[in-house]
Amino acid sequence: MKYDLESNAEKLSRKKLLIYPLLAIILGLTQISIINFLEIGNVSPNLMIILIVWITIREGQFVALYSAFLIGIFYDIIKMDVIGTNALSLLITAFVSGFFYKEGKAELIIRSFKFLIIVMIGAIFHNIIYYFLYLKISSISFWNFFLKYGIASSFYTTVFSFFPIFLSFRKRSTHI
Amino acid sequence: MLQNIINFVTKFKEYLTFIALVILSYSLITIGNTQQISGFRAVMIVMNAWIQNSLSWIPNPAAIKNENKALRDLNLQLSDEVSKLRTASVENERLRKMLKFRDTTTTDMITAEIIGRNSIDLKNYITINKGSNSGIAKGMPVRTDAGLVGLVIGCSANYSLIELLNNNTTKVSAVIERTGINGIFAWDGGENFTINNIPSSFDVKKGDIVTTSNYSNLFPANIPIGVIDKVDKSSSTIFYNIKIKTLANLKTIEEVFVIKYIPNEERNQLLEAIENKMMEKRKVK
Repeated sequence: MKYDLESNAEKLSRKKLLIYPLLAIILGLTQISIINFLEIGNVSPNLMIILIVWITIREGQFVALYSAFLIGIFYDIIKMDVIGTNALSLLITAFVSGFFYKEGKAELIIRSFKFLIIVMIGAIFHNIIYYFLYLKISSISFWNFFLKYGIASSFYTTVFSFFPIFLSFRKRSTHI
Repeated sequence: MLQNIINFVTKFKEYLTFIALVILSYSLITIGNTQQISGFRAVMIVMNAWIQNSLSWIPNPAAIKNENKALRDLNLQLSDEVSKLRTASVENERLRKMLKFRDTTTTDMITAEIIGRNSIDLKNYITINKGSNSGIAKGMPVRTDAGLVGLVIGCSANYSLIELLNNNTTKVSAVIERTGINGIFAWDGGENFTINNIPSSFDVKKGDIVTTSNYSNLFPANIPIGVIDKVDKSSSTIFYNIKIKTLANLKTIEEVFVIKYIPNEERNQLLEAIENKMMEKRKVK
C-alpha cells in the first residue's frame, strides 16, 4: 500500500515536471503573439504572472522561486528582453505570493477571490520591479509611467486570473 | 556547528534561495544580451511570425479604425500635396538642369510587408516577411516613404524583427533640418516623441522637420523622422520641452523599406570600448 502511494506521488511530480514547462511555453508564445489582440490602450495582461502565482499557490514558495527564475529566463529570451529582467521581476512575484501559500489548501485558495487578490499584489510588485529596470535606461519618469501603465496592467492581469478560477471550478464539476 | 548550519539553511531555505536567485538575475542583467542565445531567438522569431501569419485573418477593429482615420487624413493631405508637387516637379526639373544636380536616391533598399505586430510591455515591434535570404541583417535601418520607422534587431532566413521608434531604448541622434541644431530623439512614453537637450535660446519652431544627423552611427544622415508639434519654454529649466510627431504613422504602416546600411564596425567598436571603460570607471568609484 505504502509503495503504491509513493509511486503515485512520483507519477504526480513527474507529470508536474512536464506540465509546468509546457504551460510556460504555451503561455509564453501566446503572450508574445496572440495577447496583443486583447490590448486596450497599449495595456495587455501578463499571463506569466498568473502562471507563477498559480504554481506558488500549488507548490509553495521554494519550488515557485526556481520556477519563476527559469520561466523568467525563458520569457526574456522569447521576448527579446535583456536577460534577467523578467527572471528578477517574476522571482519577486513568486516570493511575495509565496507568503499566501497554505499547505493542502491550494484548491481552496485558487477557487476563491483570494487568488485574484494574490495575483493583483504579485502583479503590482512585478510591475514595480520590471518598470524600474525597464525605465532605468530611458528618460521616461518612473512614477508617471508606472501609474499610467503598471497599475492598469496589474488590473488587466487580475481580470485574466478569473480563467484559472473558472477552470478549477470546471475541473471540480467534472469530478462530481 | 555543522548541524547548526544545516538547521539554519533548512529553516531559511526560501530566503537563501531568493537572495541567491536575485543575485543571479542581477548578474545576468549586468552581463546583458549574449550572442549565444541569438540562434534560439531566431527560432522564436520564426515561430512568432508563423503564429501571427496564421492568425492574420482575425480582424482587429481598433487597428482598422485607426487605419481608416489615418487614410482619410492622408487622402486629404495627399490631394493637397499633389497640386504642390506638380508645381514642384516642374521647378525641380528646371533647377536640376541648371545645377547639373545628380539624382541622389541611389540608396539600396529592400521592400518588405509587415506580417505581425507585437506590443510587449510597451515595447513595440513589427515582424516583416523578409530575412537574411533577402539580404537583411541585424542593425539595418527601416523606413517608409514618409520617414524613419525603426531598426532591425534580429532576423531569420525569411523573417525579421524590427524595433520601432516608440521603444524606451531607442534613441536617435537627430538634427532640426531648418536650423541644423542637433539633439537626441527619443520616445516620451506616450503618444509623442521628444528631442532632448536643446537650450531655450535656440531657434526652434512648430512645424520644423527633424531628420537623422551625421553624428548617428546607427542611421544614415538626412532620413526624415518627424515634425515638431509643440515647443514649450519652461521657466524651471534652460531647455525646451519639444513634442514631435513621427512622419511615418507607426500604428498603421503596412509596408516598409529596409535600408541596406550597416553601421561602421570600426566606429561601433570604438564606441563600445569607450562605453566599457566608462562602466569600469563607474564600478571602481
